[in-house]
Amino acid sequence: CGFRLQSNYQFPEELAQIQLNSADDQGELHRLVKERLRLANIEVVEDDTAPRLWLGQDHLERSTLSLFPSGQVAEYELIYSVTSSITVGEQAPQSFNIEIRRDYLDDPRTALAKNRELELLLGEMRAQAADRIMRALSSTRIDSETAH
Amino acid sequence: LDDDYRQPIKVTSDNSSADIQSYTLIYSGNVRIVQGSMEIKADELKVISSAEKGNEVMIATGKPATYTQMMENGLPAEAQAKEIRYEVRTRQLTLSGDAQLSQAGSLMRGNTISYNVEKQQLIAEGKEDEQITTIFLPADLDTENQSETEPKPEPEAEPKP
Amino acid sequence: ESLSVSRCVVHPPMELLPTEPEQAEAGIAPNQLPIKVNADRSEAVAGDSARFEGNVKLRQGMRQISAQSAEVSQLEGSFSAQGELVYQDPAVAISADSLNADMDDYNAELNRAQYWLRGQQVHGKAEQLKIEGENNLLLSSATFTTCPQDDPDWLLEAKEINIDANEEWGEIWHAKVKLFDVPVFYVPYMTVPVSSKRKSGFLFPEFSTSTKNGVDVAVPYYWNIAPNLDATLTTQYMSSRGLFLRGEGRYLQPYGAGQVNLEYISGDRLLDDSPDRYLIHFEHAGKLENNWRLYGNFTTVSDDNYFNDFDSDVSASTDNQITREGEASYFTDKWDFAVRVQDIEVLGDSSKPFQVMPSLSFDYRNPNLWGPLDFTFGTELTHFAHKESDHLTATRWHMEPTLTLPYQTPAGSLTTEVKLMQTFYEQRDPSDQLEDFVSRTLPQFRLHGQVNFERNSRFGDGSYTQTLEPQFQYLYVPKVDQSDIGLYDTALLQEDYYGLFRDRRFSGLDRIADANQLTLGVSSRFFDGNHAERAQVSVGQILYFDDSEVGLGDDQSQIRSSNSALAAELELQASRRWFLSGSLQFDTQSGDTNKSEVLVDYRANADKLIQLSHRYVPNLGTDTEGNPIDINQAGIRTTWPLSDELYFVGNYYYDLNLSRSVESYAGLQYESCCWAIRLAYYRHLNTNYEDGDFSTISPRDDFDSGVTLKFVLKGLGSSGPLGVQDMLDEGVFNYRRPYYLRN
Repeated sequence: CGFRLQSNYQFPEELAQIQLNSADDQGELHRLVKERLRLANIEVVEDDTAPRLWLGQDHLERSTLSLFPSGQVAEYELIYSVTSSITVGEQAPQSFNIEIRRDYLDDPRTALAKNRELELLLGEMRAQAADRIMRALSSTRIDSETAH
Repeated sequence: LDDDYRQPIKVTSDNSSADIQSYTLIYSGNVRIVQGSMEIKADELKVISSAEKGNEVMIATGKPATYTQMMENGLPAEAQAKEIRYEVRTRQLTLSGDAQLSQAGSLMRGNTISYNVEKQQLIAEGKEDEQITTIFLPADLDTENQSETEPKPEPEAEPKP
Repeated sequence: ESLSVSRCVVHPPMELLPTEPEQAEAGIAPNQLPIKVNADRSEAVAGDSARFEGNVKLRQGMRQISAQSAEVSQLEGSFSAQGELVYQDPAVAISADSLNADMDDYNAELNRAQYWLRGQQVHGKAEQLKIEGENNLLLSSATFTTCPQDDPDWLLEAKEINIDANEEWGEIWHAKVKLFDVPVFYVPYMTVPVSSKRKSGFLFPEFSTSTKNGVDVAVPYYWNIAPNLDATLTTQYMSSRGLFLRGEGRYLQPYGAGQVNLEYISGDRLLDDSPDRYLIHFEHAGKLENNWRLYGNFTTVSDDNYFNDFDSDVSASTDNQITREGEASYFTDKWDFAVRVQDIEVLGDSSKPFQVMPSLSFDYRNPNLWGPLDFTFGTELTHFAHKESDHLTATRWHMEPTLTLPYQTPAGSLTTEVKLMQTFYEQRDPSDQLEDFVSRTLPQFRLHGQVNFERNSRFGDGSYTQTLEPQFQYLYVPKVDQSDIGLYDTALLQEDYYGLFRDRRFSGLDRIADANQLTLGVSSRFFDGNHAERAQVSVGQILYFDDSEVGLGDDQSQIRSSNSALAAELELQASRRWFLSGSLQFDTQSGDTNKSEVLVDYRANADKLIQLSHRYVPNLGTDTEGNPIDINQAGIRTTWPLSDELYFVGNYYYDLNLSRSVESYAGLQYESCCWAIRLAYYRHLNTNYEDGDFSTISPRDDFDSGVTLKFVLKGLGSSGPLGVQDMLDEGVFNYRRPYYLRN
């Protein structure tokens, strides 16, 4: 059916070395992205001329999805959002907003356990966001003259 | 300075000629007029004298003709214009044609400037489409850099808005 | 866009200078700059004073005064001008009859002036206007408005107005507010923001009526204590309850930012014994330079229904828990450490969760410890206390060394992970059912692989790159009896597509389920020409080779079937504005649906959208008679501009099982350049707790309804359209509660 293994290198070779800085460079998102860069053997460097991946401050919000017939909240929705951008050479920064939604059933009878579930979901959403950032990185537009 | 006008007037130039009938002397070629601390330099000078002594009128023209004099407050006054007319008796100086005069931290530019050295009074007037410009340096700035003789070169008179 | 900034910003009727200084003058203090005067004619006594006539223009740095005639006295540094006078500087433009100014200390006085704040909508007239210092305006018997027209819709006539342009806010004394030339109310003193930097908010009184609170007038007062310290004090009068006072202080310091909220009503007349009701809230989050982070959050309220009855600044009616938390954490590249205390109070429910007093956690990461092997070690020591005196308490120490062998290429990845989980419990159980000391050792083996295929494919109008990403995960955890361990922070985890690839079925650490299972999943994504992801569909399921007997004591948490529900997710951007998303959990054996959600979105922009949604979640709980409660809810949400100035905001959520609306909200907002009026009707299921005990979730037909009419004066601080975002926040379903993101 025409499928072939993704053989060409996922990331444009201009991005073999990039700078990684973020609003919270000790935050977990920063660590997850750094880990994925390492696995995709993209070298994280300090020099200013390299393309620059910027991770904005991430945010978590909760909104109500459904109510029990009694009026008590049945399901919540967790919305994790972060903006990130990649700047290559003189090109204008390409920014992308990532929003990940997971729904979650809150149960007052097991409040502490549900709080642990929320932290687990947050970790999963951050991992998903890190994957999306890597996918966005792999689809960065490079117009050759300005890049060098 | 005040006792300048009691000083003799010395005029030097490349050559000079006279027209006795109209009592006018004409000097031409880097003319210099000195009276005490006042000094006028010009390309050509006409001195029109009349019956009494010390009533002469000097008309210096140049591109531009320049005038400097030391004032009572120790600050020099400098001026330039296409034509500088100086009446010795009234000590009235009239500059016309791109006239410019700077003195004690203020610079004035316009079409004609009349400056009475004795009363230290200045009147400046522009032409129809050219206003006069005056630049004041705020008092404390002025005393700070006493040495600055010539204020920063300013662009020519601005056209009327 | 119609109400864009350009249409509403007031343009003073004079030619304006640029607001940026030329290079030469940038560094010099304004009153040190030379003064340049143009005029038709001038008379001066050298070094003393000068008089100018004929369209005089005086300029010092970025300030300019133009008039028919002017006098400058250089000795006293004073200046006066008359005749068609215009004064302007980067912050303000003023036309007046006359002006006299002192050039040394840089202030001026104008009479019968008309002023415009540049780049703002603020303008007005003043009998007398003083400019002091850099740009501090003192106006007496003045008017103030943000409406661009000559005769403005609303106008504030005040005895005194002081506008501080670099603090960017204004103080107004003895103000009479006139609406369409009708005096509406009198305010002795008020503060207004004059730039978007300041907290703009609605600093003018708000009127609303509702069945619950009757007529409701809230008058906010914004107090700008210091550049990094401000407070908003709101007095709110509710006819059916009484006087409700709300105070919120915010601070921003180098070491951290935070806020303090105090809210109080003495004698709430709506409740029979008219009790005093209050809220106390404190929150701080800070980063110290030496990698330490501090976070503190404390909330206490007088009763369970507090958030239902009052619109507090801290939480909304749908929040049924308040937390008291404190955490100090330390981060480095290789490891991080945190100490945390946590006490959750559940509103309206008798069950009290364990308190974490404290928990110490340490995580160490060492990629490439031996060649390609990554090593991580996490440990957590937690003491679980409890509010009730003779209640089960315990101390738990958990360790988790993990070795991972990642292998990743563009074509796919294979990750092998081996983990050993060792946990010690020391439990003090007054009823002696649980062992005093328990040790649990559990190894875990996980193997995850993924292959990435791609091809070009045509789809409707365009050509796309389509990827196909099958992935599998094998998980093995042996069975260890854990029935003699108490349940402290453990509950069954909810499953969706992403949950299939987790290595745990329970949250917390008190139950680690035995597992011998294989998860299979496949995702396919469509990328358009410029690499944007336009569609994504994923399907997955877990095959259980053995039953999983570790549970929470009820049968629902054990696994006896041969496979899990099939979980599927779909996200599709059909066109520039149409979006479709859905998720489904389908039990392949019993054939019934465990959960389904469908969303259809038409999104033109933030203020123009329609969303249709349907949620179906069977037996999510049981009511008092024991029969299961299903969620079967359809909803529509929209904000829609009816005209340039008129917006409609609507919500309608319908419970298909009980065929009744759960929430209906309809709001209209008319917005002109300088004011907006908002009329909204809402009717939603009452979310408050009856007499304290809330163990049942059986149906209840007690609705809350109300009409709110809000009048807002606009253009203070931020100009431009108000938008309807905060109107959206009023519905039960729209309110978005921000969370502090712990790392």
